[in-house]
Amino acid sequence: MKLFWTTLAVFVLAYTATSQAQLVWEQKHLSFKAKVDEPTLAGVYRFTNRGDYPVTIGEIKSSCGCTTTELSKRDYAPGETGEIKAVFTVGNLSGLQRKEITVHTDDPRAGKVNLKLEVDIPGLLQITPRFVFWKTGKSSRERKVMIDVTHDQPIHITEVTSTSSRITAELKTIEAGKKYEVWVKPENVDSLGKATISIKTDYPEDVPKTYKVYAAIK
Amino acid sequence: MPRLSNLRVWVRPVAVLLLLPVLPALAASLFHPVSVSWSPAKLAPGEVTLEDVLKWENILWVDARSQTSFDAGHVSGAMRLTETEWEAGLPPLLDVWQPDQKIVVYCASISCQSSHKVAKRIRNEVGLPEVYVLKRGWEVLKQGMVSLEGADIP
Amino acid sequence: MKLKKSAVFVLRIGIGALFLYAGVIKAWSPDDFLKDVLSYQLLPYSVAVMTVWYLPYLEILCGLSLMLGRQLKESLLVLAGLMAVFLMAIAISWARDLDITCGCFGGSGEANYPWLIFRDLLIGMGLFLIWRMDALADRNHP
Repeated sequence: MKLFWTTLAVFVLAYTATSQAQLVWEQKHLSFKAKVDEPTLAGVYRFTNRGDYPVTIGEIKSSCGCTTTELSKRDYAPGETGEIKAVFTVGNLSGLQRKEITVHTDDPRAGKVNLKLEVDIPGLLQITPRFVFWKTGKSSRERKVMIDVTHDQPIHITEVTSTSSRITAELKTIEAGKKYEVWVKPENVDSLGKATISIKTDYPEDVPKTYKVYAAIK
Repeated sequence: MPRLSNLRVWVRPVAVLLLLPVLPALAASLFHPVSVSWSPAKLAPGEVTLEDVLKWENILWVDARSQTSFDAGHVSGAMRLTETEWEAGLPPLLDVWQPDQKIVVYCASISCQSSHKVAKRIRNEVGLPEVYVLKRGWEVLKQGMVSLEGADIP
Repeated sequence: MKLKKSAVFVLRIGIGALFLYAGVIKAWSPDDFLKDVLSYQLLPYSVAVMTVWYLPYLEILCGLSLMLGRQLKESLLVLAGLMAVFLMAIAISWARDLDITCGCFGGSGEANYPWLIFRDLLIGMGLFLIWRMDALADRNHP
């Protein structure tokens, strides 16, 4: 009877004292600054199984489609080291991006593990505003859209077009390669209408980007 | 050793034990380098409570969460716009928006930042007036004070 | 008899240290502790703030009492009461489907409710064992 209580006591103590997760991560947060011409970038999250039992990694979900993950194998014996590679696609994103990767494991103490990926994507140019509108029956005066090149190299606007003949867009160069204005004007505001203004640039050279501004008569 | 049934004997020592920490607690509340505000955080600029919103009439709801969360449940008629899918989500939102409509952006809870970021971009980049963030987001919306729709909504 | 006395000793030191450590962590970062308390959505704000300042020192005091073997019965009772409260809070949060550790920048993952409840029950059992074994030891050696 005494032996039972004692062993139970020792068991309770040992178990409660070791309430740490088995998978120990080298880094849970990774931070990058994307270079202008980098379509993708990759980060590696390394971990070690410091527990007494093997751990199996299950589903790995990322908070957006822009981040994909690679894992070479699922099971890790005690002492084994592994890594999850995260590949981030820049696409059309700009600014500071914070993405989460949730790793499901069968480690009862860790539950789900949240990894963070932070990518700072410098923008090439700034267009303000992205949307101009007029109210039917009210003023039809033209609206100004300002384009400022924030990139350290000059970017030129090559063409500005509108999808609707009722709403026209005219390019005005303030400082070539640095500052432009697009003046958007509706022919009339008698009826509803909308247009997408496409602003074509010459950068990057191989695949020049086109930006969109939206206009509507509501 | 006093038995548990003899409660009166226990009252004094337990009371002493419970009262002793009050002294360091008081000292900590006054002198601790980290401060804790005694009143809940007031609304940040641009934030609104559900109580406020329920009084408004012309609202366009914007959901700043993932597609999965949105599909599970969202405010009826809400548009989805996230930073990641900004370019794709913007035109449909602009099509639906009417002048004089107030935009209220929400995300999962009181602590997530996406609603604030999306609202900021709509105000600054897109240039729409009257853009607000719902404090507490989906956590308060799911209680059903506004009309909801989605896979998980009965 | 000696075995039981050393077992009690080990348990006292171990669980006492656990509470001492837990109390120190909470006393160190009252702002983090406040966020945790608020995430349970059980206490009104002002009561939560008072709890945040008071609870760590109660835990430290009881943890020390356990380790030193002083005022053992009283601190065991208080700690048992505390564990009962924690367990109820966790059970209520689970029932209300709350995410009590916000996964946003900082937290280490979603709350694993079964594990939290199991762990707290284990600690509760440890407290109970200390009490019973200490009581038995007392009876044999008044």
